[in-house]
Amino acid sequence: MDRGKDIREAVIKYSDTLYKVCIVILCNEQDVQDAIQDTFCRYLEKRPQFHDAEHEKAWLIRVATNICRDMIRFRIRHPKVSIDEVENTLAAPEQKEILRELLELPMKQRTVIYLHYVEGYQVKEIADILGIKEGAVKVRLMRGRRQMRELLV
Amino acid sequence: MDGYEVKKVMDQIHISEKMKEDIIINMQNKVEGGKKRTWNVRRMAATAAAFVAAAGILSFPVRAAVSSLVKERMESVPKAQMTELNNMVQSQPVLADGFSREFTQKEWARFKELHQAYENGTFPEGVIAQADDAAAAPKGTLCYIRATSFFNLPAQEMTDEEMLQIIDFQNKMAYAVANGPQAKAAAAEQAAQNAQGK
Repeated sequence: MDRGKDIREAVIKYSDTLYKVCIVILCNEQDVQDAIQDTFCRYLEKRPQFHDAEHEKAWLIRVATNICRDMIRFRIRHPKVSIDEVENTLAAPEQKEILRELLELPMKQRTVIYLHYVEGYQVKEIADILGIKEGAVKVRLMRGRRQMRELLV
Repeated sequence: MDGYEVKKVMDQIHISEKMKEDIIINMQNKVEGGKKRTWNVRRMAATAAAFVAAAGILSFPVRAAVSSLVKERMESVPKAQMTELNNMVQSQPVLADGFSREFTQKEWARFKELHQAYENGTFPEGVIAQADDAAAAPKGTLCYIRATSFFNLPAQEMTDEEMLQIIDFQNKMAYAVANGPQAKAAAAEQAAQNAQGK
């Protein structure tokens, strides 16, 4: 088993998804790289057995969200810098507005909004990934949607 | 707003090739057993600036400088101990501390109060217990695992002393890294980039 090749393939395959998850939670590109790197470190250390690619992806997302949560709580983080570079990849002003509104939601809500609408996970899957009850997922989804509707009016 | 508009927006956002490549290089170094740790240059500069280190990197907003009381405490730690702490952090495979359980709401509220008290000179009486690895760590008591940067927390709610020991140790690690040779090299690199107007 070539671990170097395995980890390279995993980074190529999943780093884009993990980047999006982490940028939504952390809103800071410098912390995002640390979070992604730590996620792959755990991947190397734990070496879990996966049923399939979906299982592997969900595991990585779960680890990344836990790492991001711990970073928010416990680490000396980077000063909050603007995400202009991320915004600048979006062509239309209204899309920049949507991104800004998403990132202004409370962390718990925007995480669930992202996992549902962008990654396509259903309530039960999101509950498993985040380690919370299905009812909590539904509440966060509902509140996030309502708040975004209000913010964009 | 249709929630699916969020997907359309996020589908246009991607990790940069540079970040991806940096991650691949760092992970391959780890697999090959390399002890060198490639720090994000801007993160090291930010940490150094937070401790008002000699790097002189003040070209971006930083968090409030550490209090003079904390700085004095850090400077009173023997240099050999700081070097050892920096070397330990550099050799760890992770970049974020782990915790054996979540803080309770009460602990979290108290932890934030104690962070402030620490800045004002409230320091722990003792130092945190440490173990080289998980196998050597005593069960059920506060202990820091050096190999994995992991805090074993007691099952019961932590005392103020235990939380202050965590805060103190994290500050010492940050100070050790901010003043270590890798941080100085990173800060010099950042200064060169700033000078080029990047």
